[in-house]
Amino acid sequence: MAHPEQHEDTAALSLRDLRAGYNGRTVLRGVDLDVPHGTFGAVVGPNGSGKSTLVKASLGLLAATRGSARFFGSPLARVRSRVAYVPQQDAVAEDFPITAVQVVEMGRYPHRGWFRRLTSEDDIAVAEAMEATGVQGLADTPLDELSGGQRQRVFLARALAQRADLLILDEPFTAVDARTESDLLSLLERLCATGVTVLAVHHDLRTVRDRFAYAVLLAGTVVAEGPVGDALSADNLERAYGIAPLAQPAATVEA
Amino acid sequence: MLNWLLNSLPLPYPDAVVVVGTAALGFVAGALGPLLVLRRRAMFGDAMSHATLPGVAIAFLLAGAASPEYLLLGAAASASAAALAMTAMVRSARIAPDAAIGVVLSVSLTLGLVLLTHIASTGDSQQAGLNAYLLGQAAGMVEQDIALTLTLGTIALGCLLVWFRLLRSASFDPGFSAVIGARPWIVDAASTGLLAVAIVLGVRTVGAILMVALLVAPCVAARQLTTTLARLVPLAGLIGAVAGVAGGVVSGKAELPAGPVIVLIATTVAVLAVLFAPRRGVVARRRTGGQAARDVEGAR
Repeated sequence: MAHPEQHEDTAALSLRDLRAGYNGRTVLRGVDLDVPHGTFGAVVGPNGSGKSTLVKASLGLLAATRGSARFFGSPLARVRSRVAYVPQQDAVAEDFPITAVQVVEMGRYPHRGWFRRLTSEDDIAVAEAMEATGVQGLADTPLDELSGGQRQRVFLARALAQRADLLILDEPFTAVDARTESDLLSLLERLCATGVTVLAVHHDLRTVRDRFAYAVLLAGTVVAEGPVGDALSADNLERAYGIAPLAQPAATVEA
Repeated sequence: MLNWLLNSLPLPYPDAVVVVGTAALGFVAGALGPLLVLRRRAMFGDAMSHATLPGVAIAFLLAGAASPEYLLLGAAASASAAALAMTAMVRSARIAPDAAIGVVLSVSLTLGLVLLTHIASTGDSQQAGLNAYLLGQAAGMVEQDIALTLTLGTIALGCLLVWFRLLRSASFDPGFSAVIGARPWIVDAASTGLLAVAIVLGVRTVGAILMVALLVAPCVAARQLTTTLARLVPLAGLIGAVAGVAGGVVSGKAELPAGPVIVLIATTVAVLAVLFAPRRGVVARRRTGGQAARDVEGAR
């Protein structure tokens, strides 16, 4: 799954002087960032701080007006199968005629391309991924008959089936029940333990502080990054949010 | 082979031509319609369809005769130009998509009507049969029309089959698909090109104003009855074919323009499916929705 020997010294994702925005309005500027291997990372910041913009510009979904993004030291085009992306729920066509297993199978397309048949190896990867996220019993259920939590389990299964080395998730826990959020966080944690890098845009500072290891704090540019405790210090949060949103110590979450 | 098919139908030859021609056209349009509906581009397709009118008129003025190949080439050229214009307005001039569509649609229709009126005033239009391109006409279809529909339609459906994985992925989840290597412009160009084929094939029979309905209505109906795209596409084709045949025959007998009749039939099927489909229909949902609400009440 992971190939740490090939890139011990290059970051999973490196951004250099990245600048991006929409319709001529710059949202993000001067972003320099190295996301180390095997980290369980979160991208946090206030609304409009450029969290999704960072993800989209890194992945080329939004043309960066300046700067560059490299994955494992290479441009994305050379390492597509190693990068799995879970977009925001509202970026996916609502009410599309597709079943859960067909969504998960998409995770194998980077390996098979647009024309070749899926192999038994692909079938195994798909089945294992669906079992890992607990949706093996829903394989032939149409996506529009699933709950928000079940849907997100299916999309995470697609990322797992890809057997990528870097998972990038954009707000994966909106419209998801607390139980699913906790399950999926544990699953991502275990994945990181095997050497996979995870980077998730997340708006809930408390969850990030309790469950993630590494954080990037954004406010139009990188305010801080590093281990969660350092990156989300009271000073840094005040610089990013203008106020201290987590003045009290975070409550512990019952798993 | 086509000849054998036309002669083996228990119908007078001209009727057989209409039945086979409208069936082929309806199937192609129905099967390609999901490229519009599922990508939320129905109005984009409507503007492309309206934009065939000025192309037909200009081709007639240039060629000086109503040879169908020239007219369809003109239709294809101006529909493509409209698609490019809308794309350029949204991408480069940052005009909102609905505004770009509205402008192109109304300008196309206006230009088409002005040119057709001009041609009519010179007295050629009756003989040219240009009015058919507005509201459609199934009568007067000839064997070459069917051959063209079958040839281009087979090519278009073949492309849909070969690119099925790409088009389905990019329509369902454009972000994920782009990250794994689906270039958005290729997806847009491929689906727009396939739509242009369906529109051009249908514009004379169904008419520029209504053609989009034959693309949209069968897909809406089929969506209610299927859960995967691989089943939706052939079913939408089938519904389109049935609407085409029924509309073509009825309009011929009742001396009505073919487009409105075909579209009314296709829309009726869609409305019935939206209301009464077993799982997804409004009635079925209301029933299960009520059941779910009662279950929640009971659990309390």
